[in-house]
Amino acid sequence: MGINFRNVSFRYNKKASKPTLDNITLDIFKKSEFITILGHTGSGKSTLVQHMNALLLPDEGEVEIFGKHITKKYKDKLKDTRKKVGLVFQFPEYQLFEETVLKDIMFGPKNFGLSDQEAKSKAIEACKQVGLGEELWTRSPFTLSGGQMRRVAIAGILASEPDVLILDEPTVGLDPVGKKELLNLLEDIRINTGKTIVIISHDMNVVAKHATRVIVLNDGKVVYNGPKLPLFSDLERLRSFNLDLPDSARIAIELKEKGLIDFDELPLALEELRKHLKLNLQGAGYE
Amino acid sequence: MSIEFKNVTFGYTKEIEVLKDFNLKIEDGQMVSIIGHNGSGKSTLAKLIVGLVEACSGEVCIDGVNLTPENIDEFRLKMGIIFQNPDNQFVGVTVKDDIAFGLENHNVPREEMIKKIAHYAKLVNMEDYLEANPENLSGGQKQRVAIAGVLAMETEIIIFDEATSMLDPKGTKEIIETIKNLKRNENKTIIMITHNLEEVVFSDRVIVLNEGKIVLDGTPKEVLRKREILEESGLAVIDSIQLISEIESSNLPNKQALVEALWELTFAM
Repeated sequence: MGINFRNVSFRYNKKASKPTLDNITLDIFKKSEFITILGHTGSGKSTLVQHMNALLLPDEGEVEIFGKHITKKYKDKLKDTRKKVGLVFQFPEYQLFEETVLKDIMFGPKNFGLSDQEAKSKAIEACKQVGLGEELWTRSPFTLSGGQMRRVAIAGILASEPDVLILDEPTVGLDPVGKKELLNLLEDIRINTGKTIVIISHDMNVVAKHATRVIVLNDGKVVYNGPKLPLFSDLERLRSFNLDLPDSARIAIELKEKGLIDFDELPLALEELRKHLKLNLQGAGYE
Repeated sequence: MSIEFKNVTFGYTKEIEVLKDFNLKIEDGQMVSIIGHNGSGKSTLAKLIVGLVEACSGEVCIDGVNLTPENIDEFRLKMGIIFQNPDNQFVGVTVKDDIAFGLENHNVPREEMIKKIAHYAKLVNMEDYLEANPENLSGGQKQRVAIAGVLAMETEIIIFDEATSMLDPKGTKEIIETIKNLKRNENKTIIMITHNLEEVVFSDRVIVLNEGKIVLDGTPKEVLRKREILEESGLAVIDSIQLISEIESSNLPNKQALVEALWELTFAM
């Protein structure tokens, strides 16, 4: 069970010669994945994720979302589908609207048919999950900091208990600490609840640290779908996708070129690079 | 043009003071990065300099003159600011119109205006897009047009208020290249407000703000390695600089070569 794309194509302008999504076949499973979707601006990333909870319907092909077959002609209700797949847009704090933090978070579960009482308890649970302290629950969301507002928006989606949580560039505009906290929060949610997390990101350091799978889009096509190490190890292909290396990998390659360290497997994160540096240098020292 | 804060206190409400007895002098022609977490007071500094908000007490002096409601209009002609969101600052229907907007407001003669537009569009590498519709531009391109618009006013002070925070890596690189180019070729006082440490390595001076106070002030090389204070201030250390500190305190045999290579890498980013 999960989200399965079969030969999906989509055009915003039905007369355009080039589709935004071009014959995409792809599976997102329910089981505890951390997927990052990469691709330069305009490659189709946001369009792709909007197909994952049927905000957009494919022009060609089919998206199966937890057993429901979504095609161009789909007319049935989508409430269940939207509940299973939570989508957090870019700058979600712009979409807050209620008088208090708790009311804003309750909006989703109430919309999916829960009573006030039930929605409130789900909202409280979600607040605890994202680390919004009780003192904030009755505050107006508009008096909070940017990082806190973003947590409120994410809690609003979590309160509906989706199986798959999708976030479109969740860390953009946050400071380094806010960024780190948010990513650790997503990692905790994945590990503790087994939900699959899908994020669109431009930050290769995030990919290096968190991703269990990477999907790369280029001109509306899936050009890579797999683990991160092979993606970053093939420099020529990486460049053809217009993607950068994570910082640690770039440092490692430069140091290797200067003959200062050596490695077979490209280190992607700082911890790995550190190991290589020390091992290698200690080895040299003992000679 | 120099900028000086003398014992400035400021708060958006009476209860919460963002800045208290704040002192800072930025010399003429310096390029200064001001960094800090969301809510550290860094954008408030920019707003005080351009007179979008007024100090509750103390003085904000430009070129030695205290800003007042009476003289702020005159000083605003000498300052330009580029904001975060590329979509919120595009006013023209074409790139050319957008760059022209400020010039038209100042009644610059048409011939001179055309010359200036061409010159500054070239400076930000947008000369091939003069007739382009902003809808068809990337975020980085829109920001470069905004920069050209500000440059065309030929102000002596330019402030970048998180100008890259909404851009993708490619757009960020384009803006950084543009700013580096400015620094090399124009004698302006440039202030960069950011929380991206990789953007500050080419400044003359880096100031770290936390809770409205200056906690670090020095060259990029001096400031970027103070791990503890940076982390306390909600910022992070760049990987390469983190490694430099670790290697320096180790007893590895070729540590000097490694440290040199890592510094070189840091400044080439």
